[in-house]
Amino acid sequence: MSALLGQASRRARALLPLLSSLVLVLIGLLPLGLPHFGAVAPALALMAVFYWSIFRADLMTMLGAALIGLFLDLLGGGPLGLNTLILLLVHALGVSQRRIFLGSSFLVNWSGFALVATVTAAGGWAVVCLLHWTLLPVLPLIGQWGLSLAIYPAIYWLLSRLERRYLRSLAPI
Amino acid sequence: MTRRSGRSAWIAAPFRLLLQRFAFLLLLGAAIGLILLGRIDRPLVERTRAFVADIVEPVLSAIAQPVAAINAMVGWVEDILYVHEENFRLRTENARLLQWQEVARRLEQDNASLRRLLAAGPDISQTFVTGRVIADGAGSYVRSVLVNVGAQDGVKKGQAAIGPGGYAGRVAEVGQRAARILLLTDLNSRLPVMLQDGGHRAVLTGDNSPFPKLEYLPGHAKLAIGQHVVTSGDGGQFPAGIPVGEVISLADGAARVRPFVDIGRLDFLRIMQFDETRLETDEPVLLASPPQQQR
Repeated sequence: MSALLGQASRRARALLPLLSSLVLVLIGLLPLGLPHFGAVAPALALMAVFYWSIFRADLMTMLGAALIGLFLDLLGGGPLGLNTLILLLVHALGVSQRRIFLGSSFLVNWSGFALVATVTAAGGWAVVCLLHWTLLPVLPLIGQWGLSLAIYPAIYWLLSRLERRYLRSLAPI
Repeated sequence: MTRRSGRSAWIAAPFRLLLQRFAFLLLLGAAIGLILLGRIDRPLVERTRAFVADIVEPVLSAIAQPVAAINAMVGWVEDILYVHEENFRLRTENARLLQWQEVARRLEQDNASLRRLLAAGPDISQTFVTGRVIADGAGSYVRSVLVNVGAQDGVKKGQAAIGPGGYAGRVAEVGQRAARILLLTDLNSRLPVMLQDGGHRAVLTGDNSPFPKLEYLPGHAKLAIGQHVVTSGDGGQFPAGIPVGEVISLADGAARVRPFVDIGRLDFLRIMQFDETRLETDEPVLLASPPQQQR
């Protein structure tokens, strides 16, 4: 019985990266009542996928990353598939470059995220501009980028707490 | 402790790598396919979106309430800080509004007597359903919000969402319990409007900036800064005369309009349920717009 419970608990904890990312997506959509916050809301899903694909690549699969992106696309109302594409690529990058980040300091991780945020913002902007064949305002994008960078340490701290508390005992691959 | 057992244990490593590459390419292709699908089959995408919004609505509604309560508290503190200025502003506004009240009374009488003369039917009454904004942080590429009212409350696609001050957007997707409002600043928003003075028709085109553009205005129409723009009612989904905004700039041929609604800060939206079939005359319905001087 206890073995069965243990198994169930392990299964549930293994879902934590996915669930925490989905919760962050929802939090990112909340109307906070700050003027024009919606346009510059930090890319919380991006942070979550970036973090988990580095530190728990075994629990954040590429399918999981794609699902988070799809969820964000469907709820956010932006171009369908764009965040799916972005998060898939970020996941692939995180997994392939995780050796660099695993042993290094938070500053390296932060810089890595800054780079990823820059590239995804520029890429996303280019795709949406192409889709609508018009030049979109860049200012909200810069605001979002700055805000994302500023908030990343807090999310990093939160997710690393979660990981230490619940996932340490789960064997990685 | 044992390592993960199962299929992956006996699939040879290189083969597994190949499989993973293949899955990655497949998902990548699917994502690109979705982007294209979103351009081709809009109804399907809208239905799927509405479906997901319906599922998440209870969660978002539940979280939105405490968030709104905190916002209200912050607003309360702000109110106290600015009570003097606010009081002064309200006094002057009150004086101005009393004058308008006088004008409105006179016009109401005029209107009633003219209606009798024309034997016109009674005013078309619109009903509203009010929804709370439960999601808005949709990112840099889209200007839309989710509200927690849907088809079960009588919301239909295309209806107008009115915020404090005037037109905020139109219903773009409807689920049972939730609906997405495409704000008038969104890239995809095209709103048939007219100038309140002169009644020249135009289209208000969003471009994701806070100030949408006034387009397709007839050449002889004279534009001036401060002119009010109202809905023209073309399209039949909502009546004419809903206040939209005022012209704020005329730089290089493109007139920009500042919406009366504070687009960046929406709490509640009223969805106007307007039944076109009840419209007996094609006369515009004046809705809270200041009366014009007729000659």
